[in-house]
Amino acid sequence: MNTFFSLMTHGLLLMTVFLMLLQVRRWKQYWPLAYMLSAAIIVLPISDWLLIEFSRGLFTDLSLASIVMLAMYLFSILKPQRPRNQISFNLAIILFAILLYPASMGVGMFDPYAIGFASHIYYDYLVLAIAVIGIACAYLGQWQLALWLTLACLAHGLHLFESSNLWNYLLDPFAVIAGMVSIISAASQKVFLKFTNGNDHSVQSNA
Amino acid sequence: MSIKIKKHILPVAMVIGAILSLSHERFEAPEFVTPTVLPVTDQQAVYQQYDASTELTHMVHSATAVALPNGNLLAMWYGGSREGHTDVKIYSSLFDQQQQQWQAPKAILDRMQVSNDLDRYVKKVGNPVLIRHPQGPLVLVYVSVSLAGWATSQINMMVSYDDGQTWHPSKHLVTSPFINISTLVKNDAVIYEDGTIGITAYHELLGEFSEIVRVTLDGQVINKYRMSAGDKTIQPTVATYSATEAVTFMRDTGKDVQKVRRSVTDDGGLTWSAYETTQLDNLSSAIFTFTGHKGRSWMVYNDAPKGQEHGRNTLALAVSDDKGINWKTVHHFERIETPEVKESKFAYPWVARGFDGQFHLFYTWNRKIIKHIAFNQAWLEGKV
Repeated sequence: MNTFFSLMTHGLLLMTVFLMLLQVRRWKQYWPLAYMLSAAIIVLPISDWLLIEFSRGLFTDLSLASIVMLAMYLFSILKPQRPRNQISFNLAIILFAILLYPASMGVGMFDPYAIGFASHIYYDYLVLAIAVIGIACAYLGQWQLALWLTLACLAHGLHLFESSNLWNYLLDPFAVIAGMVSIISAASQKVFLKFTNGNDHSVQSNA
Repeated sequence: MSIKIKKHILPVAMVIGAILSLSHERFEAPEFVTPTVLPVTDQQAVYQQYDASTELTHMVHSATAVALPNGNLLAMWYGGSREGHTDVKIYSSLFDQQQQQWQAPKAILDRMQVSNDLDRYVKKVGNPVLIRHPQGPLVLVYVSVSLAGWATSQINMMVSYDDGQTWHPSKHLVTSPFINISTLVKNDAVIYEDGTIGITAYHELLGEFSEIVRVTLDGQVINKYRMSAGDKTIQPTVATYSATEAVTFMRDTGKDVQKVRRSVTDDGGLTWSAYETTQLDNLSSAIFTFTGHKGRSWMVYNDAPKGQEHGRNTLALAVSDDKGINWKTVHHFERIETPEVKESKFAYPWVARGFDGQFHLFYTWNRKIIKHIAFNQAWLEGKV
């Protein structure tokens, strides 16, 4: 069961990458062909492995943060207006990464990663904190953040992947990189628009 | 109405997820099973040497062994054309106690089998660690790499219920939040009173530190206990003295102090003290500790002092009467008399304890052979 779900998520990852490389938007009415081609490539055998098995070997199971982003991208790739990650979603991922990664990679004696195991004394607090944040976000309209936390909690509760640690369902480095890129891209676009508007305004004034 | 229902879907799903997560199985605080030390009954010192491996492969390394209930020994190591090559396999051999000889080694695991068991690409395998579980089964923990070098290792676990004749498929252990990389094993595990296993592991990427990964016999990771901060302290070897008290010694991979590091726990390994420096030299080489008669601690290590060019030209035995605070080197299993001119490598010691009270030292001899030295408590006591 773990293997099935894990390979499915790597299929999602690889299909998204291939559709981006194939520039599926340019295929217009032939877009189903691009999807079929990508679906075929991900199960191509290379040496003794399928491409999705390579991906699983290299990157292990993806977190729900990555899966939510990939699914959003894959299902909206053809829409004229691509939905962006909500800022709260990106910020929460980066905040979680700051709390988790430095200490779990060896900074100090405290290991926050261990809290994600059910036998840890603070585990209940972590689960309850995630649940409270998730429910609050759902009612506050932060649907992407709520969806991520809810799916992570459900997947962990059902033990969908190999890990028994809640953190592995919440976060992975790809989600953190994507979150950072998304924030930088949104910020740079804002700055660009501000400058463009300013220039336009000055041109109008001069006129 | 439908809008209202939609609004509550995520919160309801979250409550279900939280309930499911909170219902995961819990395990009590750890308590060690301490190894039984048999009294010294043999008057005659025993000290015998064997070659556990043959020259079946060009390179061998990282031996591990356990005693079997029938008196035989089961040893494993990895071998191939060179370290980290895709042709590296984990080999196993049996020491027949009656005939006093090693049987021909056979490959029991390679990267393709691991790959099939785990349904993923695997580049190489290494560092087997055998564990005898008190409930009977043998457990094999080993390292596999898919991404890059050893620092990106992951650990896997197999169980045998027929003393190593057949093994159940590997289980992949998820032990790190960063695409599960950089958990390695080298030394003996600790066993807890509730039957769970404390794998003595270490981390090598960015921070270099030691930790215990606590798992169930069916390969479920249930907790981790940090033994040191990310400060050049790896390959922990643990001596347990009571249900709650243990000492760990760690390899020093730094360039400054180059001594064996020591840390203690008095709560079953839940928390460990800040490490201190022992008198034992350690030019970043593997060490192995075990306990013996009269509560003594023993250590097999390379005793080359700081500044020596070839750090693994000796393999020494040291003893401590105060749980590893003060040490005295009492014997050399290997010693090259002119270490500055000739490089040898006596590395990765492992000591298995027999059911008859004998000890069995295994180590890599110049990456060519796995050496086996059997000695008894009388021989050890004679060295004090």
